[in-house]
Amino acid sequence: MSAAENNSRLPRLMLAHICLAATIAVVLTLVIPFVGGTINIREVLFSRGTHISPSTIVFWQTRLPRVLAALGCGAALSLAGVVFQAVLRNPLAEPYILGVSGGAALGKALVLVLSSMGNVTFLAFLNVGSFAGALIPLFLLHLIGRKQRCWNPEVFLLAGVVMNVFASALLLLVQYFSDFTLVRQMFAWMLGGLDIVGYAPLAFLWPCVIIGTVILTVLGRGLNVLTLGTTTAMHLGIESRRFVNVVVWIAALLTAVSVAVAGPIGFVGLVIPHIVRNLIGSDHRLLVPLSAFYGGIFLLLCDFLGWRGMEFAARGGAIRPESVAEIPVGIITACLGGPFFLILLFRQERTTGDV
Amino acid sequence: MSQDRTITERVNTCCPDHSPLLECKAISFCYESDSWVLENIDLTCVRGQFVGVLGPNGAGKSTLLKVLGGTLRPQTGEVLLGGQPLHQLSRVELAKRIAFVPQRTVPAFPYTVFEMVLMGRQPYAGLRIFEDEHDLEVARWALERVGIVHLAKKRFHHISGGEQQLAVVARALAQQTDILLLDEPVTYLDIRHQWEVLNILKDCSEGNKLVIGTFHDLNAASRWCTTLVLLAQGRIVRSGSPDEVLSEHVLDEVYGIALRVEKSPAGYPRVELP
Repeated sequence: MSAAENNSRLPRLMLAHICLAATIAVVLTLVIPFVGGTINIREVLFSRGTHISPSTIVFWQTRLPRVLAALGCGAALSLAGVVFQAVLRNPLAEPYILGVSGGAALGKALVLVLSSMGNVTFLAFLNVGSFAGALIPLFLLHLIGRKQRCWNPEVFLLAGVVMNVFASALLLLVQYFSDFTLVRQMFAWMLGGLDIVGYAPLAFLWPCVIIGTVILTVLGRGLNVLTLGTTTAMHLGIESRRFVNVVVWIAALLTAVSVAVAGPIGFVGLVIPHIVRNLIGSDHRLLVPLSAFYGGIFLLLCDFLGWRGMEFAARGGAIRPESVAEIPVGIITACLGGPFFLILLFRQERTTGDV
Repeated sequence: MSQDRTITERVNTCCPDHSPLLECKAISFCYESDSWVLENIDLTCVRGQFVGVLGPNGAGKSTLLKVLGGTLRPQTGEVLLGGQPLHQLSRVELAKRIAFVPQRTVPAFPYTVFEMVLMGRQPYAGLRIFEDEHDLEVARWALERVGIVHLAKKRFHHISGGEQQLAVVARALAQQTDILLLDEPVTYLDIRHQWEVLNILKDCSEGNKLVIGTFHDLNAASRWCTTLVLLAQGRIVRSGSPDEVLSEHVLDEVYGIALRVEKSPAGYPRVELP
C-alpha cells in the first residue's frame, strides 16, 4: 500500500531534505560574507604570516560571526516555535509566548542602567543580563505549572501574556527614570539586531542549537503524539507531563539564548514552522530539523537584506548615498513576516475545530 | 490473509485463562475536594467480555473509564491489571495493555489517516525514531480490520466523523492491547457507522479481548454488550447481563422516567420511551 511505502521512505526522505537544507546553509554562509562592501576574497583566503590584512579581520571578526549568529538565532527561534505550536496545539503560538522577550528586555535595561550609574561598567554582562531576565518568567511559569494538576495550555498562555505586559510596564518605569541615550540604546536592542563582533556569544548559542535540534528531532515522534492532546498521548505511552516539561524547557532556553544574543527578533519562530509544515507535512521528525535549517537561512537572508539592502538601493540611485544605514533585522523579519503570515491565514483551510 | 492471522493470534493467545483481567477494588474518586464522583466501586472484568457502562449524564461513566485507563488515580481503593496495581505500571507498559478511544478526536495538525493509525505503535517505539516494517504491517492490518484501507492517504480532518472514529479504533487495535476502553464511541455516529464500530468491538471481545465502553444508547448496549454496568450518582446500581440490568423499575429509579422494556424478536431486552 502506498501510504505505508510513504512511511517506510521517511528516513531517506529526511536525509535528502536535511542534505539539501544543509547545502543551502553552507553555501550562503560561504558566499554572503563576501558580498557587498570592500572585502578582498584573495586576501582573506591566502593572507599568511605576520601581515594581517583589514579584509581578513573584517571577515573573521564581524562578517562570519554575524552570519553564524543569524543561522543560530533563526534555528533556535524556529525550533522554539515548532515546540510551542505542538505543545499548545495551536499553529499561532510563537517563541515569546511565555514572556521570555519581556523578561530579557528588562534584564538588559537594568544592566544598562547599572553600568551608567557607577564608575564600574557592567557592559560586558549585557548578554548575561538579558539571559537572566529571560529566565525569570520561565521560573515563575514553572512554579505555576507545578501547582496545576494537569498540563493546561490556557493557563500558560495567559500567564505568558501577563508576564510580557508586566515586564514591559517595569521596562517603561526604568526608561522613564533613565536619560535619553540609555533609552535610545534600549530601544535599539528591542528591535533585534545581529551586529555581533567576535565569537563569545556564538560559543554559547551554537552548542545549544545543535543539542536542541538533535534532542527535539529524536523526540519528534513523541511530539506528533502530543499534538493529539495530553490525555491521548498518555494512552499512547507518553508520560505527558514530564514530556511537556522537557520540550518546553528546551524551547524556552533556546528562545532565551537567542534573545540574549540578538534581541527579540519577531516572526521567525511563527512563520518558519508554518511554511515548513505547509511544504513537508506535520511529521515532527522532519518538521523539527527542517524548521531549524530554514529558520536559520531565513534569518540570514533577512539580515543580509537589512544590512546590504540600503547600500544596493544607494548604488541603484534609489536613495542618496549619505543616507545609507543598516536596518535592524527585527524590522525586516516583521515587515516580511507579518504580511506573509496574513496571506497564509487567508489561504489556510480550517484544520482545527473549536474543541 | 495469513499475515492477518499472525498478528491477531499474537494478541489473542498470549494469556488464555479466565482470571480477572481488570479489577476495581472499592475505588472512590473525587475531583478537587467536592463530593465523590465515584463511590466504592467494585468491578471485575475478564477477557472476552464486552462491558457496557450505562447511566445518566454526570453519573460518573467517563470518570470510571479514566480511572480504569490509569489517567486518574482514585483516592481510595485500587485498580488491578492482571493482579498488579495500575499505578505501579509505567505509561508505556499501560499503553501496551490498555488502548483508549475518546469520544471525538480533533487533531491540531493535518495528519493522514495512516499516520494517525501508525501513532498506535508509539508504545513500542522505544528509542527508535522511525517505525519498522512490523509497525507498518500492524498499522496496515488494523486499517484492513476496520475496513478503511482506501482512506489511508486521506487527511484525518477531511474524512467524515464516522470514518474518523473507525480510524481511531484502528489506532487502538494497532496498539495490540488486551483491553479496549471507549468513551461513548458511537454517540456522534450515524446508524451504519454505529453498526460497524460495534460489530468490530464485539469481534474484538469474542477474540478474547476485554472491551469496556460507555453508552447512552441503551438498546445498542443491550444488543451488543455481554455485560452491563448501570451507574447512578457515582455508584453501581446494578450490573450483570442485559436481561438483569435493563428492568423497568431500575431504569425508572435511575433515569426518572417510566421506560418500557420489551423483548426484541432476537431476544434482547429493548427499551422504549413511554
